[in-house]
Amino acid sequence: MSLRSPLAALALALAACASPALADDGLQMATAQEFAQVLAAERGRVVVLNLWATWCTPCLKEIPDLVELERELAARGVKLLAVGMDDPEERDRVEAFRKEHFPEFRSYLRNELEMDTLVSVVDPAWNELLPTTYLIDRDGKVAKRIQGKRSLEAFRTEVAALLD
Amino acid sequence: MRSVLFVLALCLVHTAHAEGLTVSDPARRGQAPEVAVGPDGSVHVIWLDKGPVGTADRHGHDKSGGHSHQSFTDLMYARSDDGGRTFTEARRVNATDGDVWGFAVGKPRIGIGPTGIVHVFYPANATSTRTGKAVASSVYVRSTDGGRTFSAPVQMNADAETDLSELVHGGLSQAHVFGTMAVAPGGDVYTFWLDTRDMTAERTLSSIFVRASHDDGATFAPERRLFTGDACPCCQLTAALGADGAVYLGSRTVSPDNLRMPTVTVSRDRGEHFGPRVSTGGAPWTLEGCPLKPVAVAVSGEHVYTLVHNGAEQPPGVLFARSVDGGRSFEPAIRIHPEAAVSDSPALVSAWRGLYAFWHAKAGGERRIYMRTSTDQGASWSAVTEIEAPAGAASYPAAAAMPDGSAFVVWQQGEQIMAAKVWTPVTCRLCGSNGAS
Repeated sequence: MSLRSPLAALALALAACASPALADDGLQMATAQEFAQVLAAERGRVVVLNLWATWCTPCLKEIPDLVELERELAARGVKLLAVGMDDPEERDRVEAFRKEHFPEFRSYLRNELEMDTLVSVVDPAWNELLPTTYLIDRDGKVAKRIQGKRSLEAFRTEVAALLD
Repeated sequence: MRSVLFVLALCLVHTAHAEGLTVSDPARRGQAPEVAVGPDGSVHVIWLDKGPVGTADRHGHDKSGGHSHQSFTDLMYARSDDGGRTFTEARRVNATDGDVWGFAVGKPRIGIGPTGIVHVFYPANATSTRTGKAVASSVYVRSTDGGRTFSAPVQMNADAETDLSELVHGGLSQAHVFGTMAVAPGGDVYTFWLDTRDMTAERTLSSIFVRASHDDGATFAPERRLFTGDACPCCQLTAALGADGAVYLGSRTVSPDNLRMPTVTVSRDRGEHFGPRVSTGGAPWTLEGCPLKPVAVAVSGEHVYTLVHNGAEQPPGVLFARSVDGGRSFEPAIRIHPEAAVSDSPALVSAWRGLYAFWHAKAGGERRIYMRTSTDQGASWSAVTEIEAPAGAASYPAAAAMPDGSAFVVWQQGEQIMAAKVWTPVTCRLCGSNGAS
């Protein structure tokens, strides 16, 4: 084993310790810096990163499919990460909404004034459109940006390409 | 020889701008600025105040205003009577703490009447008198004392009879927001907003409503539905006025197969009737989602100009389109900043010196504010120029025309609101004066 690998593993472990991990049933606030740590801790998995908001009806329509997608593919290393784009000051309302409508859909909520600040961690050229879903490969690179609502079948097809 | 060099220099420097200044309180978090210029050259800026810098956002529901709050935002106002060199201390426009609903792409609007009356139109937290449920409404206030005080808020939309919480979401049972306002030199005030009251489970789209005043905002005619159930519900409306009093309205329509089309419609009878909405072009953009993209509009005679974000372009970016027949048709759209990785948030101003286009874009770093100018009615454009501003993210520009033909631009700089005056030389052809102010 080279010296580089243990250091990298240590760095990832530290990042994981420092990142705001999601509670079993909670909505976690995250700054851009904190969310970068969350992503770093997911290296080695295929991440389905979904940007949503309570006021975005197409977002809400696809949430059950995203939850189902993770359920189907978790054993193969697929992780769903959701980030709510509602105003951070609306945390309590967003959490109540999530619990009522999508209790299995755990999510972060941006803790930044602007939506773009947090999303820039993943996509510096995001055009502030919802829903946007990023497929991130096991190396932590964005493999695909999907904008607009998609069906479960469409998500399955896209994610399968990253699992081969 | 010196004069030749002088003129040559003018030809090379297409645009210039004064150093930006901070308008908002540096200790507070500002967002979503808008600007208007009065007939006397006074500059009026409004923006959202999200609370003190470095403090946590206020969470949850509060009853301080007598109804459920979906957000805790205030609306601030400041004015300049020296051409934008200095501004008054900011004053709060909304009567009740935290009553404003807006955000970066759901901005409040401001306009100045012929006698200096300050008109403000903004989205507000409210409770429906019909259903008792939380709604977001459009509110109008005005100041007849130069912005020192504002009138009591007048809700412009009627409360809907139905509770559409299961369609509207976002903690709201109805939304009557994402509006715009145009104030004519003669004292006509036009307010428009997107309204969810015609939404159905099959078509979760908005209608467009209007209320107009013909006495400088003293009274308004009842609301009227202009277009029913086919407008993008999150793409803020925009309006512009022609010198002949024609009212131009920018919006996005949504087809049954989710084609998001930027359009312009015009009224030539003081807002009584509007013509068909005409597409401003660009690649067909099909999306089942929330674009949050307005259609910026400006007018000069029979020339109508638009600046819009199009997500179907690669990379996604802002397109300029021009009509030379009063908005009946548009020439093919062109990219305004082809080199940018992404460009968005367009603003467009028609002044007597020329046409000014502003937007924010990422071109190798953080978002910055960019501009181009045209002195031939949009036929050709200056090079892309970055507005000089402190390091860091700069975004969401808005602009208004100054009496001297320059433009006054405001934007969000991090969590501050900044402003600068920009201008373009009158001509590059041996004009003998640079026209700079």
